[in-house]
Amino acid sequence: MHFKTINFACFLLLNGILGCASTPPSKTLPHSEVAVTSVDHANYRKYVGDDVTAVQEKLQRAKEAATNKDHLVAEQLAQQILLDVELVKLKTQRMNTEQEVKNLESSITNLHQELQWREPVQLSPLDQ
Amino acid sequence: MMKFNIPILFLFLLCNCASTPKSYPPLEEAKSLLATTKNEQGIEDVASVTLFQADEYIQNAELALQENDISTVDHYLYLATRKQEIAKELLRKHQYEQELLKLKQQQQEMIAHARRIESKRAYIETQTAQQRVKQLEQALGQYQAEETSRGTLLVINDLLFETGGAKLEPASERRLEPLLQYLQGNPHREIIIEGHTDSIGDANNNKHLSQLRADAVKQFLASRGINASRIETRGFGEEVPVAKNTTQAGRRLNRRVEIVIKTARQNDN
Repeated sequence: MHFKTINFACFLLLNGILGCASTPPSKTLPHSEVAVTSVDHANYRKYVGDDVTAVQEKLQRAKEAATNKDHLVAEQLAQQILLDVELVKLKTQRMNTEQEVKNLESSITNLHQELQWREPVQLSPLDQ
Repeated sequence: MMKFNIPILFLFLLCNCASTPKSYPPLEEAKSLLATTKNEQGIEDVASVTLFQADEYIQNAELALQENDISTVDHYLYLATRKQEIAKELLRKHQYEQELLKLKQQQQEMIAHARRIESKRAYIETQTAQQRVKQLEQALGQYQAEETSRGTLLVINDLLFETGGAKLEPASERRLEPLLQYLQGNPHREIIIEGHTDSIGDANNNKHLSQLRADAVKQFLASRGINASRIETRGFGEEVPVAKNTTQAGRRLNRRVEIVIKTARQNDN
């Protein structure tokens, strides 16, 4: 019985070791590199510069993990980077649109003031 | 006895592991955050797929927690949180886009309104200008008038000054009454008074005299309440004749005062 128990424990241990050793190199990392390169641009740095820097640092960590054969960590970081980059892009788009809204609001306010400032003209229904 | 006990114990432990819900505060926080995000109005319309993916990551995190793989739990929670943030950004972006559309429409309407007002204003201004011209014609009909690029040019030949001097005679003051009335009725109009002489006498003296006579007309108008800043004067002497100075008739035409009524645009300048 003792022999069988030891065998079972050895099987579990071996399985665990093989499991770790068999983690393949990250397939996501190359995609993450492309994604990070795509946001290394003034348009993104203008609004979310810190986020771009953070994602670049994370890519560096992922590459280091891959070099050290820590493929699980490399893959996990690569997956995170893809979502980080997606968020950076969306934030930038949202901020751009937000800025457009502010500019347009300001333009409308100026137009409104100009219309009020100028000598009022009564429009008849025929002018509408 | 032992042959039965080990597998049973193993199974018991497995069942025990599977059935006991484990508590991990970051997981609860992520779930709560996701639930709050899902409650945001309109988010399901723009980010349903993203929210579904966030749910999947939460489920993966729960499975990893059952296996006590905290590092994987944290990884999935990170992904779930990112998806939740992406969903929120999608919603905000959509809201700003809607706002932008609304504002663009508002701007278009305001521009159209402004154009209608400008068109109406232009119509009113044209009518007012026509009325002014009519008034001008009525008031100044007694003068010889001509439209020039400088404005309306009025030529007054029969202004009389004391001989060799620049004092207006009473008859000349009456002659200036229509101009005075016009200026009183059009307080924004500005004029230039130009004095001219014939070629009899010294040219320098003539130039000086023509300036004095133009100034005399200005003084008369100012004494009747016209703001002097609306009036410019120039003396040309004999430099700009309109007829030959060899005949008496020609000289009479050359001895004149010209009034230029500036256009509104010139006034602005």
